[in-house]
Amino acid sequence: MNTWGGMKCAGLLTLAMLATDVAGLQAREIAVTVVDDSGQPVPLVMVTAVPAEAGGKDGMVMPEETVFTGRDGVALVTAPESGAVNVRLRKSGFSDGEGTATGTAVSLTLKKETDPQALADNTPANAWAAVIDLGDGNLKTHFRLQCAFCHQQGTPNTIADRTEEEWEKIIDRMIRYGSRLRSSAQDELPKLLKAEHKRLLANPSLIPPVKAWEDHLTKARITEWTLGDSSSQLHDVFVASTGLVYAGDNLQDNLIELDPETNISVVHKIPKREGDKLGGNIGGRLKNYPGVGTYVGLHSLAESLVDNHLFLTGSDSSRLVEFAPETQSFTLYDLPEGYYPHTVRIDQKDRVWFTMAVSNQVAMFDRTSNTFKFYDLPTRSLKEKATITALPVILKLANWGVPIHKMPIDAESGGLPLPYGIEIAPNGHVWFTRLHSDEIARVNPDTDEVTFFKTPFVSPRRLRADADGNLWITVFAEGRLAKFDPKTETFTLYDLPTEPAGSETPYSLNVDRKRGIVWINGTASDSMIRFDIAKEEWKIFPLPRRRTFTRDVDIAEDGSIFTSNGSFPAWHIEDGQPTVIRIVTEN
Amino acid sequence: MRLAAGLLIGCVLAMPARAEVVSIADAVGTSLIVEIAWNDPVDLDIFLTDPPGETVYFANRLAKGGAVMGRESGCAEAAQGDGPYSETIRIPTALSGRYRVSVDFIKDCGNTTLKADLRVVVKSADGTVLGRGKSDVQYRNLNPVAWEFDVK
Ligand code: HEC
Repeated sequence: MNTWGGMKCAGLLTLAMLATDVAGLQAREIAVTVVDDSGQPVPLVMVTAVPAEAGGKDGMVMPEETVFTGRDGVALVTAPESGAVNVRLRKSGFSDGEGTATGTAVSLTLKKETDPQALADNTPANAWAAVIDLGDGNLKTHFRLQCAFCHQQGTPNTIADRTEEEWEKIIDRMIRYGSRLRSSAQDELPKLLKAEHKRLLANPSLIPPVKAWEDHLTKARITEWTLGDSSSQLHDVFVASTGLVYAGDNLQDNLIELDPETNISVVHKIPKREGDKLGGNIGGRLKNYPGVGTYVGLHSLAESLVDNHLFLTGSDSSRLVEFAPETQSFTLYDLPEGYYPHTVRIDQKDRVWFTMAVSNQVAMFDRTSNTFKFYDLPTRSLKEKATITALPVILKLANWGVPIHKMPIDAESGGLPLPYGIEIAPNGHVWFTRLHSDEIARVNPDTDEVTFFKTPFVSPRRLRADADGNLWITVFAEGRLAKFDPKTETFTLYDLPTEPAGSETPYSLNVDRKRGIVWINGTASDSMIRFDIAKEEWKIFPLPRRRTFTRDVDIAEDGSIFTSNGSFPAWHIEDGQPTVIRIVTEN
Repeated sequence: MRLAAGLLIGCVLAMPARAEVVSIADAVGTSLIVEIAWNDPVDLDIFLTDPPGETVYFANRLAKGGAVMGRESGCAEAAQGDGPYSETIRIPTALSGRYRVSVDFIKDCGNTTLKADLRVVVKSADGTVLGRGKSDVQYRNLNPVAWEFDVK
């Protein structure tokens, strides 16, 4: 174990000085009035104010603010006291509008769009992905599972008239990154994707519209901070008890801290050990990324209720990383066994629980006794068992440059069961999903008993418990939400409200236990989705940047939510810029 | 077969060569050409990551920062005749900061080569060579940092 510290003291001092400065910053309200060609007010227009000056002082990131016009076509945005503010307007069926506000009011015109190509270009990727026809529904589900968890399908970057050979080469690269596309699909897809992209490119009117925006948006305020660059991946996001927000940059080993009150951000570089390899020590998966800057592979974050230290999983180094906010220092724990620590949560007894996705385990680090415990999980077949047993050898070979991604992937053993999301229920039970084997499971920490429940759907990704102990699960490849009641051991399935129906690939969710709200990532459709458990009522919140690929959501004390744009690669994002996003709703 | 051969080679190969970062002065705003060239009749692919972090290559042909895919060579060219083979990326208006050249070796075009040597060169629009280097790439692996240069 290594402790690192002391290097951030100067940073702390500047931060304190800046904070006083910002506190004095005044805000102004700008009334943006939007009318159409005939001078009529346009309601429910997304109005985004982008400060002309990005930040100014070191570490300060001036956020962009988004609100929606009411029936009168007016929206009020807050902006710095002085200086020009760029305003962008956006609404389905219209072309984007732009303007500059220098004072406290501006009137802008939004033009109707009739060109099918322009309309298709401005529609979220889920609409495009929905109409890709792969002939066989099972193959489409597999495509959604294995091709939609790093970036969206149906974006300007993925849509192109490519040769079959180019598709083959692209798929080869995707498998090196970790797509577990089965071998038969690797053979079939190049031809199908070539034909489908050609067909849809020639017929933009085949791209269906998405759901029209609704009135609840007039009460929403979305704030967006640009952090990292086009080689970053802001994977997960966490709101600490201090109110500071943390995002993990998976590709650059940066723990990015943001104070949403002062707009000041500090980057904490996770230290590496001597001998660590670029791209990680576990098979060098990320070494295939041209912009790679990672040795650790920061993935998920959780906070200790005892001393407020953060625990982060270093997936590509098989390490657990502890961050002490009071000294801004890191402690690295090399895991004694297993591969790919994934999602992490900490229980009331200060035990750090995490899934080990590749080695098919759940692990626990007991902070009181400083010991690790590993739960080896059952495999589905002898073949799968053999694959998992051979992992140390396979991953060593990969480190040496042997192309293991060329090993055949069949539907089962190659898939690996993949323990994935994890959650601590109010009664202290630990629940987790296995993404590829369609199960959720419960660990009883008192008896060490692990009980599996087969899901009546494929691809349970991440899960959270509500105040009553029910589990809420994202059904990634089917675009649905599932509830599991541990008392009756029954599942209930809900269709997500995203349109076209079934086109969502929801990565994750979180439950606002206090208010009884489930927040779901609209990963394919640039949105966040709110589900009121008691009323069974849905609300969709469209996000300002096109190609906003979110994988996590956390909830602040006041009910506002934070998520991050973690598209991998980040250059798929509209302006190539990853962000942390806050949504404040009426609650 | 191929996997077994790769396994053997994997054991004897060292990490790909990594050169010093080359500095190119007075080049911000100018037009540059980045080229890789190699002699083995295989398909190598050039990747160029610009200072904001976007990568241009055969599947992302135009970056927001302006860099654009140029000449490409694949198995068709390898089958047609003797090398050297080359691929280029053009930077119409160079940005200040670091550019990274990565090289991939996805297809062997039916040859048994498991490692290819290559040369990298950066030229100005009039053909003046501003920097050059050497690297290599293993079959079915990206060499993420084949060469880097700083535009100043
Ligand atoms: C584990 C992450 C991951 C998965 C899963 C994934 N991709 Fe990608 N994809 C990337 C990254 C990173 C890039 C950037 C280019 C590169 O490095 O090859 C990319 C690039 C692409 C591109 C080219 C566009 C560009 O901007 O470079 C296409 C097309 C594409 N992916 C299609 C697919 C398909 C089809 C699948 C399913 C077989 C898939 N992706 C699965 C990470 C992924």
